[in-house]
Amino acid sequence: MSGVLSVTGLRARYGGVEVVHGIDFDVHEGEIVALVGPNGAGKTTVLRGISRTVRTQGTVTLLGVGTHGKDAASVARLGVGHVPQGRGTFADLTVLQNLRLGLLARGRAHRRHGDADLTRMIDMFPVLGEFLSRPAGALSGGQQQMLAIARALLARPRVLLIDEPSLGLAPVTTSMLFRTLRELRSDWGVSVLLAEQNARLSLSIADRAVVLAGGLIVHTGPSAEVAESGELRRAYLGSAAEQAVTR
Amino acid sequence: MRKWLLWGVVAVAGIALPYILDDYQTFQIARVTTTALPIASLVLLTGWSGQVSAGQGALFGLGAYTCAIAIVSGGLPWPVAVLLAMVVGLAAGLLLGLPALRLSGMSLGLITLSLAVLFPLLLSRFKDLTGGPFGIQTPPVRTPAGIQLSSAQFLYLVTFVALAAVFALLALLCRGRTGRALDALRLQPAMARTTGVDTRRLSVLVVGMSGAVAALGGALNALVLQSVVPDAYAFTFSLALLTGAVIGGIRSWAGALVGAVFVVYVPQLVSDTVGDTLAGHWTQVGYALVLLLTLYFAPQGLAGLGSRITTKIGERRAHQNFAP
Repeated sequence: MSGVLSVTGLRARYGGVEVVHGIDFDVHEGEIVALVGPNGAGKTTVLRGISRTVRTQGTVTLLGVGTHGKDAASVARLGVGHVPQGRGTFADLTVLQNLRLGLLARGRAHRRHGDADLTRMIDMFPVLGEFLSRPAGALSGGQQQMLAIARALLARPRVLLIDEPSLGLAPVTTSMLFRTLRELRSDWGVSVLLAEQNARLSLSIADRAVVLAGGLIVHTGPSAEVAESGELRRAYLGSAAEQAVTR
Repeated sequence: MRKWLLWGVVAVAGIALPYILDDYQTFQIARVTTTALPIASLVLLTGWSGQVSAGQGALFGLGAYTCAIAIVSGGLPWPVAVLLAMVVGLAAGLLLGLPALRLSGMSLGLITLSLAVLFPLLLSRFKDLTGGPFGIQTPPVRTPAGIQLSSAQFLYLVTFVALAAVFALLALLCRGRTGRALDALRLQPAMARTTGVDTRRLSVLVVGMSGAVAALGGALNALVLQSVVPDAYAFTFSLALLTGAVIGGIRSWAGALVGAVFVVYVPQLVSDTVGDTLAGHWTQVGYALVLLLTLYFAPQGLAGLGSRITTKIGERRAHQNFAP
């Protein structure tokens, strides 16, 4: 598999505090990579650094093209879709207007297929089709999350960055959403970098996982292996708690 | 479809008006059409892109003075002078938009506020160019040979065609991809960037375009009034334009016309009622009162209120038709 997204020596700071301390990882073609770790591990900052919504040091390349010096809009047009944490929708616009906004970032090659992709997207998320003229802010949390993902997909990104999609959602909605995420790569030919605090959930759909703790990568490997590793438990619970669990 | 029909009726009525009204009334409605242009520039800037300008009156004045100087000192024909005024307005808008990008929040509002306050003072200061407090008199626009219209009728039709062209262009611009990008810019600029909208370029471009439209209005207004004086472009005029935009409907092109009627006729109405001495004071009171009432009872402006009433009547009729 070839590397679609490559991150090398990524560092980020807020004010004088460095929160990501030089991390390296790749996302390959058609792969789902889970970025897991506890609160404050730096997952959101890594995603924001890749989409250039925060300034970072280090190198990020998408299909061999560096994003250094580019702004968030250029990176989006280059093929990075970002579904931010929380309700990543334009609440005052209708569902249809939100979806059409997704078409703005797509390259010229995909522009004429916009309406066809819109129809395809509504087939994928039928609930959005029912509420096309409703303001996005009036949708439920799960529906808004679907809308945010749908909007990002309509840009036809090569890599989709999804930040904490399960945040504030009911378990049933979360399961449904994750089932949809699993189908994305085959349906839309997109690689996914999924930052999620719920490690069990994200590892269940990911091919590989990168475990972050305190702004550093503490473990990386196939999801099944990471799920069994002590590093994951240590990242979430700390070493003392991990020893207690093992005992 | 109904909307296009309505605009068609407005266009026909607009063209027919100078044949029905006398020259003075025609002169007055030419003031309305030229004032609708800077208000339309505010609709684009504030209503669509979410940026606030407190200096649109100064950009209108810049267009007026550029046109007057180009005709009187430069000897240029009036159509060229008007085009030159638009180019100067565009450049001024771009210059205002660029520093605003470096700052955040209300920076454009504050920069344009400074411009609005400084502009009349600068006009008085550089009197060799601007004529100082007495301003510049421009020659009347003559009707081209072969056209059977008075000067007032001809000039009104010129302003009307300009207004219609600007409305059509701006309405087209705010549809489709650019319209969606403007929506994103206005509502959530940070998220707009992640959807591929170059918010910096779009912001500067919109400020530039709004400058050009305001300057066009100013240039045509100078031709209608045949004079430009610094007092006409005081800070209060910028506020009047902003008030007119809110009263008409900050996202409505029709609202720009309604707002212009308000800005042109309220001072005259007040002057007729309380006399010239107190008119300035009571005009401000009138603006404030109507603005408050609009914000309370028709936050989408009078144009928005009109379309809401039409929709309600339509719904009621439909209900009556289908009632058992």
